[in-house]
Amino acid sequence: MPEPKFGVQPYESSGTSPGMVQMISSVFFPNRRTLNELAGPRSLSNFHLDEPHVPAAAVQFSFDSVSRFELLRRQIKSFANLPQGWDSYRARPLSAEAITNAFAVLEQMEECGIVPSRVAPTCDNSILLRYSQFGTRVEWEFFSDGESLRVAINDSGEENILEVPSSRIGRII
Amino acid sequence: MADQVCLDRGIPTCLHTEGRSADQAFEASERLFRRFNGTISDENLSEIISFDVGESTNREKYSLSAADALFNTRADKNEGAHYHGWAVFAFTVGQLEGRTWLCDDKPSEIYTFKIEHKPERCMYPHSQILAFVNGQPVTTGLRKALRRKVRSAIIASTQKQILRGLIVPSE
Repeated sequence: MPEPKFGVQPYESSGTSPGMVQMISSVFFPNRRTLNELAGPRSLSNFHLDEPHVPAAAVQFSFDSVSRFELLRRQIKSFANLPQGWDSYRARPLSAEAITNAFAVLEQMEECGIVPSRVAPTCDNSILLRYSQFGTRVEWEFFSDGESLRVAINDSGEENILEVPSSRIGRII
Repeated sequence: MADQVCLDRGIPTCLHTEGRSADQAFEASERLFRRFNGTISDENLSEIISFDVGESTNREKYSLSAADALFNTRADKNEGAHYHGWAVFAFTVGQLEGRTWLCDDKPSEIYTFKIEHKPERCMYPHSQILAFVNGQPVTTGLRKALRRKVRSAIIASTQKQILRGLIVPSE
């Protein structure tokens, strides 16, 4: 049977990873082998996300040579290489501005030792970054036009949505 | 009468528009279907749908089943472009049209939504989301905080459905 035209597999922390992490934005194309099939698992040190013809692919990375946050940064960066319509509708690759904003919050999280539980592109042309903070689930959305939302979700699912201007990105988490 | 272009794309004849005009009559209970990558779990549905202006769905009234949303109407059937393994998110027209929406910081702006039947050549059930603020059409991107609010409300509702394991219908 034919494969889906393409799809995206975002990062999700298993919490019990023994040293390998399943990455990242896995884009599958019809009738085309994935990078995994072409080369098998590779260490991050010899893999380039900007590799031509395969904008992003399913790859297993070793934690030995790189920090988790560096992996996350590379994952986020790879969202710029998503094909037009990667969701099969009209989602676009994420912009440099969205990526810069995501990096800024990720940097603050790294300083505070907070590890995201999920990083993914969304059909709403944003990068989603999720983590827990003081028992509250927090989701950031960094949009391609530079706008950002910080959403705090309590135990009953109620959301407190905050629009965060670019000038304050990286100053709150 | 079948549309040969659509047949070449593997789309069943009953989904071809073939000169039929749009039907703007929607029941509140009519379901709308939108496909998404089936590897995305139920906990992450917020990634798979946007309620911005112009987003696409398929309406139930002219669909054989929800699985019609898994057809790729833009590619030749031999290119392997049907969305096998993908899933469908379903919600009702009434969930979107049947209420008004507000952003807390601007209560004077009252948002409403409407579904417009907008047939495509090879997908007659195709429809899209329209939004209005104080009755005026929203033509550029809808405010993101509102998109988030709508998305979260619909995903949290008990009326939504997540349909997995669908088989792409054959001609």
